[in-house]
Amino acid sequence: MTISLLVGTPKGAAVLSSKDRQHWTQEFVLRGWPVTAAAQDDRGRVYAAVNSPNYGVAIFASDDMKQWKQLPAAPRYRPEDRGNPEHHRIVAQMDFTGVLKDGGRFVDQIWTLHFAHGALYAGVSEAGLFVSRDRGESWQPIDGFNEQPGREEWPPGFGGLGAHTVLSDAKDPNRMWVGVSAAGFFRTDDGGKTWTPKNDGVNGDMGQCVHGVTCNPANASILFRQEHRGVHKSEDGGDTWQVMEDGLPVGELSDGHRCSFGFPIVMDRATGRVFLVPLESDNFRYPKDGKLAVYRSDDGKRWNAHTTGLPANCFTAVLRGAMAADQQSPGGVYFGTASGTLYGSTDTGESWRELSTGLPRIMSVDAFVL
Amino acid sequence: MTVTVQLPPVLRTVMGGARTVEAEGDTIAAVLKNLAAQHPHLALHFFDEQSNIRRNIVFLSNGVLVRAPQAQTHAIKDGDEILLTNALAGG
Repeated sequence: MTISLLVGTPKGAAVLSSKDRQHWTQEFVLRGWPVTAAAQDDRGRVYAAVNSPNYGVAIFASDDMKQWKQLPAAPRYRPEDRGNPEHHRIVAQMDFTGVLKDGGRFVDQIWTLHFAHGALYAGVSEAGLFVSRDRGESWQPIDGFNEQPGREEWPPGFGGLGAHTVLSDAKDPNRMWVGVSAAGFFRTDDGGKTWTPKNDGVNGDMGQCVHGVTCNPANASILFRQEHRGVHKSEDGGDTWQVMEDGLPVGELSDGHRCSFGFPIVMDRATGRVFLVPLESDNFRYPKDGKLAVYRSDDGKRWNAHTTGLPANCFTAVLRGAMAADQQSPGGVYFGTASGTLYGSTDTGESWRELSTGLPRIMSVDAFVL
Repeated sequence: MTVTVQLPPVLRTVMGGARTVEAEGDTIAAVLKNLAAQHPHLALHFFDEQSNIRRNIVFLSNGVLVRAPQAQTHAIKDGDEILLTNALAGG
């Protein structure tokens, strides 16, 4: 058994592999392609999403994470789909030729790939959800999500209007969740036909800017959520949320609200432990006082900092997709920084060590068993 | 008419490492459509959802700069060389 990490950057992906999680080899693959997300199917095949600002979005697949082959299709909106004006305003910074002025909707990034119940899902920006039921050979839009009333008025986050989180329920193939910056968190109970916002109890004074959500698909009624405006937990599948920040560093947001700000949130399913990397509010976006720390909780009621092996003079960030758990025993957890350093723990977060450095900005980290 | 198209490095990986490919057409847009028909993996890299040539692709047609909107109608002739590159960004 080999644990392999796919570390996505704007210049390709680092693949770190190890049989004992102590000694790692590293290769750099998909060179020249910004790699933004990855997932593994039930046959062990790994899918990596790329998004070039010049040549669009595509998906590559590999059985060994060394040889990659581009799949013939990728998520795409229909020609007649109309886009969100505010999202266009943000992404139009790269629109040298002005084609966005006509308002067409297009996929400019795949934020997440998720495999569940025999299907591969893609959460994209401009915010939408797509599914492939033939392992990436073709893609279909999930209209129940993509054509929700009012979507044209959804407010984009700082990075645009992106569907960055897709979660599933192992017991119920009709139940899924999707998180959109900054439109909020949605759930379907009918296989994607209809979707309901699930933000009750989350402070939405400045919009519903969900940053990340995690759960154990085998017990998916319990959800942990890192919001722009703090850390929350739900014990009823997202119907209601409670702030859970005891022990977390709290900072003041630009509007005066005090909460624990950050992006990634992952779970070690065997223990139920949840991991965060808080940052010093939205004005600063680096670890509090420059002390890089991973916070861990067994149930959300109390969080504890774990800093062994992490730098105490660190003024970078960890992006929302840049943290993963390998779901082994004991649990391995890995995260990468916006300044290109990858850290790992093989004792469920007790201690950390640097696994790689000198990488470009790390946009995604995913852990797979090959 | 047949022209030679030089691919950018990232698209060569999609084409098994080929630096150049041959295609037919009387405009740059027609050449891209012909290439996409021959090699379907290239189609999503050339055209967006509205079938526009992707906005940041820039062409050198026998050394003459042609941007995406003009490529729709930019005429070419047999034996021309078209180089695909991208709009410069950053310092």
